[in-house]
Amino acid sequence: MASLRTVGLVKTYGNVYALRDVSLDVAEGELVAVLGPSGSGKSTFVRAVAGFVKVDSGAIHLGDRDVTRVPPEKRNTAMVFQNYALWPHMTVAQNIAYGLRIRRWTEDAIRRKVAWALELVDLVGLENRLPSQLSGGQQQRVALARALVVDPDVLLLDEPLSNLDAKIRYRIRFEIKKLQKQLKLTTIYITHDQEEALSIADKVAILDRGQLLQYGAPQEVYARPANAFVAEFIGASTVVRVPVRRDAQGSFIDLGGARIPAPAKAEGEEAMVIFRADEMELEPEQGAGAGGTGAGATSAGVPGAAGTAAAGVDVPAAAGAATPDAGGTDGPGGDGTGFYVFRGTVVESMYLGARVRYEVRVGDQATFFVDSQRAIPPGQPVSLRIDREKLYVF
Amino acid sequence: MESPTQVQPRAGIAGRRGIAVRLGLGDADYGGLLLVLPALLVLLLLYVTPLVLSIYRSFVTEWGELTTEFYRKAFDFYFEDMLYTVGITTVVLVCVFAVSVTIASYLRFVDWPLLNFLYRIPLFIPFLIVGHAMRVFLAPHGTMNLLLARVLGVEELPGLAFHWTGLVLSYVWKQFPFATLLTLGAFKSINDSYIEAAQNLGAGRVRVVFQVLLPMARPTVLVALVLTYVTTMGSLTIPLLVGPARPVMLPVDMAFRVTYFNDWGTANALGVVSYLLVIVVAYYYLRHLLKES
Amino acid sequence: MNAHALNLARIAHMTLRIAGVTVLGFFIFGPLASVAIWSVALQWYWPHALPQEVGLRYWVDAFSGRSSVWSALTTSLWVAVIVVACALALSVPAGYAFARFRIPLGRLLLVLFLMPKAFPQLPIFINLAEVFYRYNLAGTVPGVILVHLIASLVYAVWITTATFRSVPVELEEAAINLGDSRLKAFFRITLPLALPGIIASSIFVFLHSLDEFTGTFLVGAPYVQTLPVLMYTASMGYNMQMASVIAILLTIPAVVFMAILERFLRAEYIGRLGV
Repeated sequence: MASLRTVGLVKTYGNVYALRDVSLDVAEGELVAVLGPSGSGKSTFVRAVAGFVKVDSGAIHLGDRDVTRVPPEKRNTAMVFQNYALWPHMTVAQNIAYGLRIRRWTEDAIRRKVAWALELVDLVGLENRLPSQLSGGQQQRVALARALVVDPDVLLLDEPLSNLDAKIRYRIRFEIKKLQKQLKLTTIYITHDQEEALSIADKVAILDRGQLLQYGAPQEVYARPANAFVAEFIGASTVVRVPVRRDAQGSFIDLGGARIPAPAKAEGEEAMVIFRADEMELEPEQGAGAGGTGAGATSAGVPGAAGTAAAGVDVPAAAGAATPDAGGTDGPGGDGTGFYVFRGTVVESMYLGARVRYEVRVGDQATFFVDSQRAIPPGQPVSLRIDREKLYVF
Repeated sequence: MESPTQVQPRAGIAGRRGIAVRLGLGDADYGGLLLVLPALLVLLLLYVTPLVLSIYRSFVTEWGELTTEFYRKAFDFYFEDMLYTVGITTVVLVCVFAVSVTIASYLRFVDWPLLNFLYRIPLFIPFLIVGHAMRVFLAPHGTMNLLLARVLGVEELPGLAFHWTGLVLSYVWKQFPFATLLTLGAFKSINDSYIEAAQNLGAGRVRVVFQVLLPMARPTVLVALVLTYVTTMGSLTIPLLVGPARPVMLPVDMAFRVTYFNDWGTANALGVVSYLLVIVVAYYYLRHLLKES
Repeated sequence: MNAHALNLARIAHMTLRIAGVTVLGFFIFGPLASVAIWSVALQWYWPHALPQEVGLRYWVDAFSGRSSVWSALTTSLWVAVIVVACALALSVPAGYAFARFRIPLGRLLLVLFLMPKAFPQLPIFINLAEVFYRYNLAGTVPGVILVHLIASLVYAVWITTATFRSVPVELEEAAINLGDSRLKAFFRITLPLALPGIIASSIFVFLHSLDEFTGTFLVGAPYVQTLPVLMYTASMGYNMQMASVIAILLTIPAVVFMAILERFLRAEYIGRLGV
């Protein structure tokens, strides 16, 4: 078992950057999920660590060894391939024992280690089967066992679950995590499924077009995405582009009447407002208030029922990021820092089973996607509320 | 045309039956046979008939009597040549296998256009030309010896053209490209991940070839070897032009038996022997195939 | 791995590559170059590395009226063309049928069409020659054409079958759906798409017929002289120059056509044919 450190990995194919200065530090025994869409370079990354891709520049360190120029057969990494790559002419036992035979273990030792591995992945009794006689899940476990027996410095999993049914996928991901923790294996886990990554990883690395966008614990990546791409990739489904304005107090954007602090940009340049559909609360408005159409902002504080603030008023925060407007109440926001409130009209809905996703028109600029468990008819004016921490502006 | 004998939904029929049905021909199996018939007839007339005849003529004299005299003569005169034929063919097989696997393995890992071009050249040269070219190249005073004499400084070098080594060289020269082509094709169709998985666990390239590539490419490699075997054993042109006068490959004996002795019976007996030599190999090949499936 | 060891390995690898390709090149080009040199050698005695006298006399002789090369060439070409025509006439319908319909015993029949190449040919030729004697076909051009047809059918049927298989049947169905008859659909849709494969098959048949020796020798001798037969006689008679001239004449079409077919000869394509 060893730590893994990559420094400034660069790989180009023609004019295309598959890896653009990727630097990553993985401590011994850590499971790092490398997350990204297809084409992001995550496969290239793991193949570079394994040695099948020769990087143009940068270094790869396994423990205290610099393995950048070492051929793949001498690196002592172990990879589980997306298609498992079980040799069809060898039995399960022969597949698993392959690495040990190369390392010239004695027959006895091999037999014992193979038995140990079979028990670990719960495949005892299937030693003499051929891969073609196994189910997809079983094949995957053989591939895993084959990698585990050689006690690699790093375990590399290239989208190990993408060829399995959804039900099995959910179960096996935790079995892999259990094994990893038990054997204290330094592991790189490639996936495009953000839920999978967040649920089992110690740290998550997000790649897009060869670049490392964020690297941190799952909670941090989820709650504090470093940029718009990460926010969108990890679950956000609403992206609204709003031009940035400046005044004496700084840059802000005007969304549905609310003043939302924005990163410093040139006047008129666009910022992206991003949030997750299940983090925005939805309440149908009780008839009264600004007419049937209910869209648009009225800056005058109109007292609504049940403590809902008027459209687009932002509520005072602990640290004065923006000036409080008149009116509005400090609702019980996530960590007490307050909410933003918006008013809008439901346009469409999509039934997702456990919840309904509503398309809500806010102001004349924005379409919000908001989840709710209630049934709300189209045309219904609604008020929306979101924790200030959960509204990301980039 | 015939109407469908079964009622079947238009959609959802798979395979050739479906194709026939979908083309509105219903149970058109025999209609299709009509299209094959001309070629089939030609084959039956020009191939199957002489084939049957050859077996028949090896057992029956001109006057219609059943006899084993032709086989006795064949074994009497040509037993040494039969052994020689099998021996030479085996040596050729080993050499072709070695060369084709080496080249195919290298090209599987490394892209080398020069080698890719070079190994295919003999494919374009007809058998007869190969025989003649080897004659001038390997003769005692042929070009190869001319060059070697200059390089090695040796005066008299043996002429391979009339030696069994020259014969083997000629066969191998002509046959290894096709075997290489087949083998390389099979190697290339093996997904990279199977090779990388082995390398990942510590296997060097040689190990990968023998433990992963060859086992997974076995059906194709066997086809290549069987075809090489049959072609080598059946060629008349090369042993006519290259190789010793004694012993000689069976096809030469067959041809001479007919042209010089008018002895069709013995020639056919030799022919049947050559069939058996091929059938034995084909049997093992088929048995191996069936065992796998 | 230290840099020094890496460089040594790299040098060893390079040396092996150069050595390997030199030896291979020598053995492949050696015989061919010899033939080329012999075709222009007027006088060449051991131990001179190159002919003492070089000239085109044998080439000129070949194409003059004095030698039989010209007539052998025309015979070979005519025979080849007719064999191609016959092979196409037989194999195109057969290939289409194998590809589209479920022929009874279809698999067996396809294997049967493979046999002429997969099984010893000489006994077949010998007995065919004898049959032809009785029907006065021995020593005639039609007899030779028939002999060439046997093995040609192997290439023709197999290649056209594979070709038609690769044309999706949906394309024909679309035409029929829009009103074409089956025959029209075949000629307007399928055949044009199958043309590359059919051309490839024709090239194989043409080259096979041009280079065919054994059957021609046994059936056609001594009246029908194709180029291969002539070349054999010259070589056995130690007329190395003439034999080499004819050898080159025979090789040129092979090289030209195979260069055209180079696309079809990609290793991956052929590899799948084997399995």
